Amino acid sequence: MPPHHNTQSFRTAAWARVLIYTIVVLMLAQLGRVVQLKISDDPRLVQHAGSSFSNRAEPARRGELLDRRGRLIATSTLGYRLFVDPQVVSDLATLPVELAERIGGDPVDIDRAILPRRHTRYAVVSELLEDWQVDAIRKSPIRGVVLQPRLVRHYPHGDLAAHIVGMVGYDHVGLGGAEHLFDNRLRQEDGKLRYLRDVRGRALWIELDGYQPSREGDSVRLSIDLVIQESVEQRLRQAVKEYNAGGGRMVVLDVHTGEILAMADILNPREGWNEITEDPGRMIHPALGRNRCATDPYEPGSTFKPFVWAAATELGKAVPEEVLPTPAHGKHRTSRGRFIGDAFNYAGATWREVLIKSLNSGMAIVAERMTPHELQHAVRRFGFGARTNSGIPGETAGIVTTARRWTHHSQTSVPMGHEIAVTPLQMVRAFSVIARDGTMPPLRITAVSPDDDEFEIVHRVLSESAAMLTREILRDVMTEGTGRRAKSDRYQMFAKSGTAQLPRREGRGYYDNRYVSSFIAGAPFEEPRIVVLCVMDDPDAKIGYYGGAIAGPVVRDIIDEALTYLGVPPDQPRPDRDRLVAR
Amino acid sequence: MFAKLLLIILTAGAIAAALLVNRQHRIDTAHEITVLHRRLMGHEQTLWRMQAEVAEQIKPNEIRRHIERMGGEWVALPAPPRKRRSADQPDSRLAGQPTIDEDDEFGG
Repeated sequence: MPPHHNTQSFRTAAWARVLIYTIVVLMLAQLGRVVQLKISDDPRLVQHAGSSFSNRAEPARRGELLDRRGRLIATSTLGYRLFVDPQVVSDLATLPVELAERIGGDPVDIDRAILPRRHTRYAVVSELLEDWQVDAIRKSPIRGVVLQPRLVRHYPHGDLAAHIVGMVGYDHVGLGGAEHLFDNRLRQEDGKLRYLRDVRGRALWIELDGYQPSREGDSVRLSIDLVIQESVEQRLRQAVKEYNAGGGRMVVLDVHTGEILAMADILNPREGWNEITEDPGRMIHPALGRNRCATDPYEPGSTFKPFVWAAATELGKAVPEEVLPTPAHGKHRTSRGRFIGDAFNYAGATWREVLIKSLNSGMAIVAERMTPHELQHAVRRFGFGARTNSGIPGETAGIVTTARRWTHHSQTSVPMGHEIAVTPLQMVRAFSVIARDGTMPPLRITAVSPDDDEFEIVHRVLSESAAMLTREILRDVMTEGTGRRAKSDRYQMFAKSGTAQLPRREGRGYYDNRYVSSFIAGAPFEEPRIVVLCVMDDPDAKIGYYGGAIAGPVVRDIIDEALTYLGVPPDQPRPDRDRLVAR
Repeated sequence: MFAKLLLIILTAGAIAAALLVNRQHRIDTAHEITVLHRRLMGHEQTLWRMQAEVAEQIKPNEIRRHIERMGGEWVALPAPPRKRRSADQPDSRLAGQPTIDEDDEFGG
């Protein structure tokens, strides 16, 4: 090999080495720079590049409220609020016009919304956009105009059962009714999302440790049945209108489980009534009003008699066929000289007839055989003077005279439903004792699950025989007593009517010609399924005011409709019972 | 020597390229997941809205009225009574114990 060849290859090898070393050094330098940038950012570069990560809240849905058959009562969807960041908008002067072109409305109004907050970074233009407005903004976005997702609560059935369901406030927190009662269960937890974005702000990927999933609120199944609830509200509204009453209240109870199937409370804005029952919350929204079935006690009048009758019978103070010295005319005089009158005189009525004909005198005669303690104990046993603990917000205990203040007057007034005030919830629960085997179930506003296998402790209030006996007598009220006008063609009802005078607002005495008319009934007779109470507040006495006449037919219609709907076969032994119940 | 170095550089380059491709796949996958996640959220929100709309359209009593208008018959779905297993309180006298203060204000 010639010497110049060796020299040439040596040179080539040397250059190659130099080149390789240079490349290696450059690569190492580049690697070092990458490591350096990764470990500590250059502040100039950071400022130039800005943050490449975005944080976003992932909205979760508040739990749903369902009726007992799983129908939707309240649910949440996602809506959009429109706000403007005045610090980012290029031209604030033309923005209102640009926005008005996209979402409609008056540019002046938009300007008025932005102007006072022009020095901030958050000026809300619209709290809730419609779908087409959201699309319009998305199709042609404006710098500084932002769509902010927010939850919107929907009530598909409008104001139906509004006083039971309640509503949520601005921040999606329950304000009243079931929304408030079950707020902890319904409440959702929004998720968090941290993602890398490209230069246009589009999401590239979510950081592995930057995702906190959202948690939806639990759904709550209420005991309310929407079909029965709607029927109850419609029928009660019709009756309130027909008798020009100040208001009306109704409760339907499943006697087996203590579930409240329907509960209606209607107020009729009417001069002379609004002054007695004020409900400012209801003026703002129906869902913000009081639920008077739980909050407002009323004097039950004769509908209270069955409870004292049953207790006195069980204590052996009288037997059904015992003849009592009820007056043939005029008023009965008690042992302490108090005069008690009846709507109609029945001389020598039996204890059974006392309940059927609703004789105040007969009730007073037997009540005087009871000691005050026995009567007070009976009243308490049926749950009066204590909350039902149904959980309904604002529930009251009613008014029962204490042992200390109990007088002879109390002893003869309470048995006929005076000097005592009860809530409709207390009434239906107490009446269910007669409908059941003498036991009293706890009231429920949530549905009993079909697979609920829990034992529940119920209070025994009456013996089974006393409960059955009272039920039989109350069945006769429908044929021989004050319930005749409310008799059902389909179901055998056991019931009691009541017509109590309306107490004066100032608390002393009663109005002369103003009443609270009520009717309470259970059906079917052999295996009672529901108890229904209707209270008509202050009906126009010129049109009608007897409980059996004005509240009775309402209760009958609801019993017919609800039991048919529940698939309970008719038990009324009449050939024409199978007429179509379609009201 | 040169050939060896070249081989090392090419191998390193190939490994680097493979790593780069792998990394890009990971980024693409993460991006796809992100896009899918957002699409999923969008669908879920549409579902929420549709659920509310359906509930508004099928109010039970309106369905009943429609059936009646069409001459059909509203047949109840029997809901058998749910009898819960219950136990009486052993001492019935306990059932009536007052739960409110005796000094509370009462009156007729």
